[in-house]
Amino acid sequence: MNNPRAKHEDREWICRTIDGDTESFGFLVQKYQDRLYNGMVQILRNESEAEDVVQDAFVLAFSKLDSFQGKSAFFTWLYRIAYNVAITRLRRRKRGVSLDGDEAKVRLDFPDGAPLPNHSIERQEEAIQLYEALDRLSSEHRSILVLREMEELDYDAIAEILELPVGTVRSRLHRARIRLRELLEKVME
Amino acid sequence: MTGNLNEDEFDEGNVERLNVERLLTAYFDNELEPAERAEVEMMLSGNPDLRGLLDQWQKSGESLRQLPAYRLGADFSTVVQAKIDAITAVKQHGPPVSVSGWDSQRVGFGGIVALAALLLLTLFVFPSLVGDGLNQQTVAVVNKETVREPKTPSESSPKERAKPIIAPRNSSLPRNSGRVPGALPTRTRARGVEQVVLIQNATLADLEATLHQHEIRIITSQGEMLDGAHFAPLAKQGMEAIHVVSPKTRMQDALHEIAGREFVSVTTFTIPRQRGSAKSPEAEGALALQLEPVDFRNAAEVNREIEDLNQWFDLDVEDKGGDSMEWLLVINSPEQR
Repeated sequence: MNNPRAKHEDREWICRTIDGDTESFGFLVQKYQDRLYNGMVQILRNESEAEDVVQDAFVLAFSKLDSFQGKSAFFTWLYRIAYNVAITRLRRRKRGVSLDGDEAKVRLDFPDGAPLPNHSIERQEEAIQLYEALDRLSSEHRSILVLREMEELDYDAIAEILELPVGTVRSRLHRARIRLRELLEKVME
Repeated sequence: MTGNLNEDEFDEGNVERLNVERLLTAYFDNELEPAERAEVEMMLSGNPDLRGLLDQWQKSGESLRQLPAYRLGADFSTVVQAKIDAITAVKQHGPPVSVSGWDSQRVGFGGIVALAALLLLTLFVFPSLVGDGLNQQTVAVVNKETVREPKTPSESSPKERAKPIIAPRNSSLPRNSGRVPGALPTRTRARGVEQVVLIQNATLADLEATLHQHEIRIITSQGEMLDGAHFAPLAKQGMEAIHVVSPKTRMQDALHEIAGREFVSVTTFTIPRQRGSAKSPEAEGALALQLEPVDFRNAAEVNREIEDLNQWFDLDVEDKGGDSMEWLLVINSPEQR
């Protein structure tokens, strides 16, 4: 994420794209598509929707590329675009559902239909429980956990993506972790 | 420590607890300065429960990182590249010539709007208006004359939506056979709303230009027409749009005000802006316009929407010093006024 070499490489592709070489943008797409997609799947709990969101995010990013000034990582900027698209979908989906309640309406399948095929039964069972807990977690909490635990973004990047003060990132992360543990305990019962 | 303290509840009784939560979390994530780390270490040394909590977090985090990753198909980047090439082609060849009317066969979106239209991925329907909300910024336009075949959202496959659309060629709205809004049984028809087009990737200036170009009447929540260089208040085709640009507090007022009217449908646009200290200049370009159509029938529904918006967009945070802008675009037909 903060790898200077990667940042420089991104910058090169961005500059070339702005100069008219649209194929350079393709390198950025290929570099980040799976990472972005994985994050969006986890947030949206829906592979098809996540693919749409990622596709739209890249198109929007391309259109707005000249506004990217490189003060943050390209991926952070891209992720924020995707996240904004995703929350619009989530908001639409949850209409009529209490925001305070957890969202147990969606159920995400494992990639390829099976959890951790090369792991022990115990690990697979853990993964299933974790998936169930994530399914039940509110999208707000799930999003921040994905950004921190799976994307391993620092607080500044998370704050930028979620458009929150860093202090709020801290407290929301705290509650998200607490809630995840509670849900894990529930699904293990 | 394990309660549901809201981060926005900054009353005195909560401040200390909130600080502890934040410190503990930041300590766990190695985001503290040395002095603060030492403070937390001291706190942890006398509290094995907190230590246990951190161990639990550690385990959960590791489990999350070990989950199998989802990957896109091999053709994904090709699809994106095709879209980008299409956008580029339109940029190079320039926008179509602007025309005065709304007709699917000859609609011209002048200037930047034509580019924005290329990013149009979905046509939406009132009242469902269940499009993707993909917009950086969005314009909703009502077409009252064009007859369209019904099309449900489910019929709009990702591939179909991916096609660049300059002008609305299909609509999920019911056909307008009688030109008499209210004459047909569907909610949409009853409200006289014929078609909604979402134009993506438009800037605020694009929005203004589009509204101006299509002569959509714009009225503030106070009932005043907006005028000036950008918002030319021209009524056209019997349609009216009420467009409110306001800070949050005024948006609430606006919502309350319109709740008492006989409205067709309400589409709220929220542009989060300047949230907290993490704002960076390039983030400006990433601001996304949120769109959700709502039919308000009573004050309770309006209140629910306000609450909804507040929670989703953390508007309470903005109340504490941030700056935000919300848009409310209401599309109406004169028959309902």
